Amino acid sequence: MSSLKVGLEFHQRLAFHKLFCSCPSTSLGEASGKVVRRLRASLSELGELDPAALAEASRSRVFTYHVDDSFNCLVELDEEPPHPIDDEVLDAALEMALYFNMTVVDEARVMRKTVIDGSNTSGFQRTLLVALGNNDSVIETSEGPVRLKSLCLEEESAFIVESGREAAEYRLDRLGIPLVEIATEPDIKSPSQALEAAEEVGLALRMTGKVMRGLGTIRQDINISIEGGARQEIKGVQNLKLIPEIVEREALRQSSLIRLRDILRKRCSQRSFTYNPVDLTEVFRGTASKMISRALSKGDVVYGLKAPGFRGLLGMELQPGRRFGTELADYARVWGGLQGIIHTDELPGYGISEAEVNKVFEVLEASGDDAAVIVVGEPARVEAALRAVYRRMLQAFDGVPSETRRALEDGNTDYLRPLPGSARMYPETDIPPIPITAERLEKIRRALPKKPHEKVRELEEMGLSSHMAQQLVRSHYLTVFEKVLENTSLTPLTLASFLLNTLPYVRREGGREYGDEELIPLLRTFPSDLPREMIPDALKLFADKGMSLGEVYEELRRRKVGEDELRAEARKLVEENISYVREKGMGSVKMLMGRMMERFRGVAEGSTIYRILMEEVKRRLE
Amino acid sequence: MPYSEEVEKKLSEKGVKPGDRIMLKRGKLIVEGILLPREEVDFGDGSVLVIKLDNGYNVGFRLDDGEIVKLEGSVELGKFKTLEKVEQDKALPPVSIFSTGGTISARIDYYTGGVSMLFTPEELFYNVPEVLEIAYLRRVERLFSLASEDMSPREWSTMARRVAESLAEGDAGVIILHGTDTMHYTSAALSFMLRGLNAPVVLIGSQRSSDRGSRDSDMNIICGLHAATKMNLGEVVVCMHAESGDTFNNVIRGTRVRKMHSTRRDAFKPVNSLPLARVWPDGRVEMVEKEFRPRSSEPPTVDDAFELKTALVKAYPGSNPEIIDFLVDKGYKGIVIEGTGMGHVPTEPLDRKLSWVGSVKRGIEEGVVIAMVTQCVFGRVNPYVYRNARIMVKLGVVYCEDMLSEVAYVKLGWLLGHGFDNETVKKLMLHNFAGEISKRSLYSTYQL
Repeated sequence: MSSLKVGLEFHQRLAFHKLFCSCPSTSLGEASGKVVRRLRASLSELGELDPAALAEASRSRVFTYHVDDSFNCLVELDEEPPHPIDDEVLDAALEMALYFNMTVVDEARVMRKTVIDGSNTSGFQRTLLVALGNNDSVIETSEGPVRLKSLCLEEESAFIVESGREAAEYRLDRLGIPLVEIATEPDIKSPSQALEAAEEVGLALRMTGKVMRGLGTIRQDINISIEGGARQEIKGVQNLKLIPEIVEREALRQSSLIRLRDILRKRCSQRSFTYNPVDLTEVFRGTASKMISRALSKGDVVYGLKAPGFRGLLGMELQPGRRFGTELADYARVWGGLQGIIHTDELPGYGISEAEVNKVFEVLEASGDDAAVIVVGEPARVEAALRAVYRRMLQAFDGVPSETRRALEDGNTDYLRPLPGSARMYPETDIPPIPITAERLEKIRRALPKKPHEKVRELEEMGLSSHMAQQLVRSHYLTVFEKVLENTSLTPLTLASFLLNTLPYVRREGGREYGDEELIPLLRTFPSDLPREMIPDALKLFADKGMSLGEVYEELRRRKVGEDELRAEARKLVEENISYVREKGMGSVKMLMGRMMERFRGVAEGSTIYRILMEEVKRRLE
Repeated sequence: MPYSEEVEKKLSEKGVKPGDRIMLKRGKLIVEGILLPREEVDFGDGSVLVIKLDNGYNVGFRLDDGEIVKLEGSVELGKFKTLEKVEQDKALPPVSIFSTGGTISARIDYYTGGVSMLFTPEELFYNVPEVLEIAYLRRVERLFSLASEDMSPREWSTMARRVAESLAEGDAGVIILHGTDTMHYTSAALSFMLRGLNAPVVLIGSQRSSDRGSRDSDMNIICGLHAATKMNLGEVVVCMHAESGDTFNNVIRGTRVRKMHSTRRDAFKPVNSLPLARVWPDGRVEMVEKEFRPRSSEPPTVDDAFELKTALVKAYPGSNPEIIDFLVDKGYKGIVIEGTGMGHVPTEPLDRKLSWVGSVKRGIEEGVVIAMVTQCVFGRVNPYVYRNARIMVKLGVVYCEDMLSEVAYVKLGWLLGHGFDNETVKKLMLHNFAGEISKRSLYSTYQL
């Protein structure tokens, strides 16, 4: 795969309030109201619509926004102009740009990027380019350097609750959360290098301590092309580990499409393929196909389109489990709002008989290498779907069309919309340009975060093992660790051990990620007189049961078992096992410790129990 | 601010002008794109070049000692594509649309972000194709390109005349596209100036710019056209979003409407009245108000006299009555005072200089008509409850019942324009010309 070219685009949420208003960036509350809106397509500067915008506009959907005063204000509702960007969030983006040695703009200008899928109430996403890459801004990987292209600061889109053919519902809690978007040049040449670059960028961003963590707080778009193929933008990859699989499968898809093109060109010319849809409704009157007869009874129609030279190609597998027909079905879905298509490579099937297939070929005047595509639905939708399918089939003669695609869980992708042109971007007139002075950059440059290896050394000096230090730097908890350490009675080792070893268990039990606003205050105030084994209980009482920290510690002090009780229990245990103790001597402590821990785990300090047991065994043996 | 002299000089040395494709090399930076102009009103630094990158972003980079290279591929800025002519269905009810400016008539230059007032019928047809199924737009005409706050009584008069002409030519209704900030002043003015109105005159604006997918203008135009063509109404109305969502519009009497929110789509609310009707984008019209002026056959006459020496003044704690003295000295003929509560101004403040009694008394003696409205917006003034209002009414101040202050200002200017004697003007201030005043304060009309 020497011809593979991959560029990554990272979207990392920043740990600040929203970018263009003062609403919080975290929300767990229920929405209390709904606002119904429609978005309309606009004439762009050329008097033409952007293709991506047109794709959405042709669907004329109704959007319902779930709103609540706790997480949105009039800005997210597109009922008030944006507020100016806070200095501290822009500083965070500048810090990241400088950390990557990028060239920062002297004047940042907020832009509107047209988005009319409803995920932005305004119909656009606000974004500003903060820095451009240069020869010094590279991510080093074991397979070579990857240059960075640009760093932007932008607002997160709304969270989609439900999406249907005619309507979609969104929550406004996520809309407006600040994101940095970092794009690389298409320097990545292999699936494994893509993963490594992604991990390195993620790590670098975390080093600033200004990013959010948890599910969905970072996601990647992947730009992929192979030689002879075309650039694809694959959206919304949340799981880093999936990147190599997606890259591999997309490369495969493109090479399959090139192979398909070559076969197709040998069979016929693109010019001979005209758009000539034929009404097949009568052919299927009385069909045994349940799907079609059900549709016909609703007044739907069946249309067919001859696909010259496509026999066997519609059923050709492009990626594991996805055929060329699946791609066409995507177009019918996106442009016509239909469930999919039927094509003759998969027929007879779906209850459609051989006789019906023959009839279809006859009516469409298809033979030899020809195939046919059949769509079922309301007349207007059928027309839109079939036109889109026709356009896609025409593109098959040219090879690979450029598309925006969506990552699926198995590493495949499906079609979302055409690749947008630059017409989608125009100035945000409600926010003046933001000057970025040399003094401001210098101040940030002087306090840049450490590089990962420097941080590891620093942690080792605190007493962490090399393994633990590395693990902590690569984990998402380094910021929590550092913030807690500013003011806590816990030792660095205890804290690191809790975050790396204990917390994953607690998280699994609790069934959720605990936020910084839960972890940090607790770990900072955890009293030195309570055993650290009680931290998980403390977290559960504080974060899940909603107790105040004072109440939590009071409760834990009640639960904590005192030394007197431990000693009494230890004595009893020694007596009960006196022959074993006599036989093993001090070696019996290990077994006794296990028994004691069964009873006192989480309510007494392990080291205290151990000390008492040692004392008691020793005393008895004397 | 525009480019600095130094930058301009370097640009002209290279023969580079905005719209040209350039490459800027400065240290490690190499950037390529279309050079954009800096607007006069633009904030920021004139020594920073604004460049549109190929990915669509505009960025600002200081020229400093950098090198500019002119490249192939310049674009023509500020040019809008001419749209093809559109055939209309002449069997539909004829309507004239007048654009006067404001957000609804504004158009953005996608390169620079500059806003210009360019409004052609074709743009309307392409952006809101639904209009072609509702009405035959006999005339789509740009009267002015004025922001709301730049409107004056002279423009009200022009609008009244053009509307009357259009209705005389047989229009089923007239639409006026207007900036929202002062739309309710214009609607009041037209309500008084168009006498014997025979069809709906519908004012429409936009609270969101037309470049964005979420613009409210399209639905306002659609609903406004339904109102103009379907309603059995001979009044001036405002037709704007009733809710924040794109659900339905309210049709509100021109003398009972006020912009109550600076930014929301549903900014326009009826005051001391209900909306006349609700209109849905699918064409449904539901009448709410029972009493209204129906359509008639005779076109209206225009009565557009207006006394420009009319003022609207607000009383507030610490307000100094010198403002009244100033207006009297300047020869003003009428003053509407927005008093507190039921129509009060300071009469016995501890600091006697702040009492309005002397100034109001002098003004009336010198022949100025002084009218009182409430700054509460909702409710009715009453001069008999408190002493300081009794003083005012005894001095001869007209208490304007439940009239909106903006409406009272327009009405007073209009009445004074006719040269009536002061007693007549005072009497007519309390006469109901266009639904602006009512005897009954209804429980259900206080809706916020």
